[in-house]
Order: sequence, then structure tokens, then C-alpha cells
Amino acid sequence: MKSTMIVKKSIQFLVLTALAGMAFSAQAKDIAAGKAKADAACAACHGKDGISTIDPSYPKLAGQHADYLLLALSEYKSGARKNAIMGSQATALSKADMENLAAYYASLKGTMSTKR
Amino acid sequence: MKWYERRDAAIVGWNFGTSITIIGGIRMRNKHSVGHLAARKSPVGFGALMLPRSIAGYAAAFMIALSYGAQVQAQQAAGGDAKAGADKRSQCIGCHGIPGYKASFPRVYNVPMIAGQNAKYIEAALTAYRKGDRPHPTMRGIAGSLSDADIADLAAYYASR
Repeated sequence: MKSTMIVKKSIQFLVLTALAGMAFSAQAKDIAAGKAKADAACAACHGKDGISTIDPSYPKLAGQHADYLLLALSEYKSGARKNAIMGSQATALSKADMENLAAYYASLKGTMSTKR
Repeated sequence: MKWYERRDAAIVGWNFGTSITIIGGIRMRNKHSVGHLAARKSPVGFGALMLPRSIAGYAAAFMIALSYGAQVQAQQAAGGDAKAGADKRSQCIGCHGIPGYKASFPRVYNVPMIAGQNAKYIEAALTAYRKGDRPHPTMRGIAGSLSDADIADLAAYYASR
């Protein structure tokens, strides 16, 4: 009886620490810092609220998945994605910048969905 | 011997081996014959080398065929057909149509939402995958199977969602 209690308690402890860790890492992405960076570096092409109007060949970013935006930015930076404009833009960004930007754009209400 | 066909007009032609192609004329789908080969029934198959009824007629027909093809292509470049795109989306929905779907190779992340995205951007992205300017293996394979018209149609379809 006692040993099952110990097992239960330790599972509880592990789950709680894992959840706390996840909450902490989610908070580590600073949406406000992302917005500041976005207004300065991205808005001219991708629109003030992440909905591009200047040129339809630029993507809308508002509401897009954060992990996809982060992947795209890091691929532009590494050169795995070849694009003259985004290549030079992403070079100027740190990893923290990219995480904040991705979190900021993902937090905006957009028009995109998973409609088939 | 090969029968050449476009979507809206059939071009009558004979292909000898791999390098020599003789275009004899063009047949419109609406049964209005612009020109036809004088010796179409020639059993040897060298009909186009024989004297056609009117050489000028053939030249005209050929020019019409060329400009018609160019017109069709220009229409497709100007903007895809969302309705046609709907019929071509079978390769897309298995990932982009499932809420919360994650790509698992080479990295794990949510696949991007594409419904409601700008059409011109979707075209640019698919073209970049096809060309190899974007690294994702699955998307390179899928984009590689698409024509320019397919890409334009799919872009128009998803932008309209």
C-alpha cells in the first residue's frame, strides 16, 4: 500500500514539474518584444497587423503557427530557404528575436485556417 | 505517329521518331475546321509532305494554333481557377486540412495554415519548393508533380477559402 502511494506521489511530482517547465518556456517568448521588433522590421512588407496588403506575393503572418514561423525564419537565416529579401532580413535576427516574432504573429487574429 | 491535343483545340500532327514533327493543321472542338490535311488518309503517313489544298491556309491555321496556346497560358498566368484548384487539392488536405497536424520529418512542427493565405504567395512558395529553393522533402516532391497551371489553380482555391 505504502509503495503505491510513493509511486503515485512521484508521478504527480513529475507531471507537475513538467507542466511548470512548459509554462515557463511558453512565457520565455516575449510577445511585447516581438511586437516591437515586428513594427520596426517586418510591418513595412507584412502589414502592421500581420496582414500584407502592399504586395500579395508576401505572406500573411497573423495567426500562423508559431513553430512554423520560427522554422521559416531559421531556414531563411541558415540559407536553407533561398530568398533574397528574407535571407538578409533573417540574418539580422537573433534566436530570441525569432522566437519573440513567431510568438507575436501567432498571437494575432488572422484570416488563415485549416479549411480544406 | 502521335496525335497532338490541347485542351480546347486539337492539333493534327505526325511525329516521326523523336525529332521530326510535322504539324498538318488544327481542328477546333466546335467542329469548325480551320484547316485539314489534304492527304490525311495517306497510308504511308507522309501526308504533310504532300501538297496541301492551300499552303496559306495551313500557315494561318498554324499561327492560330500558336496564338491560341499562348492565350490559354496567359489566362492561367494571370490568375488560377479556384474551381479547378478544388479538384487538385487531394495532395494538400491530408496535412494542411487537419487542425493540429504536425509534420514529423525532418523536424516536428505544425504545418502552416494555407486556407486564406495570399494566392500569389502560395504560388511563390510552391514554385520555390519545386525549384529546390525550399528544403522540405515532402513539399518538394508534391510541388514537383504540379504544373504552373496546377499551382495557380491551387493558390486561387486556397486563397478563396
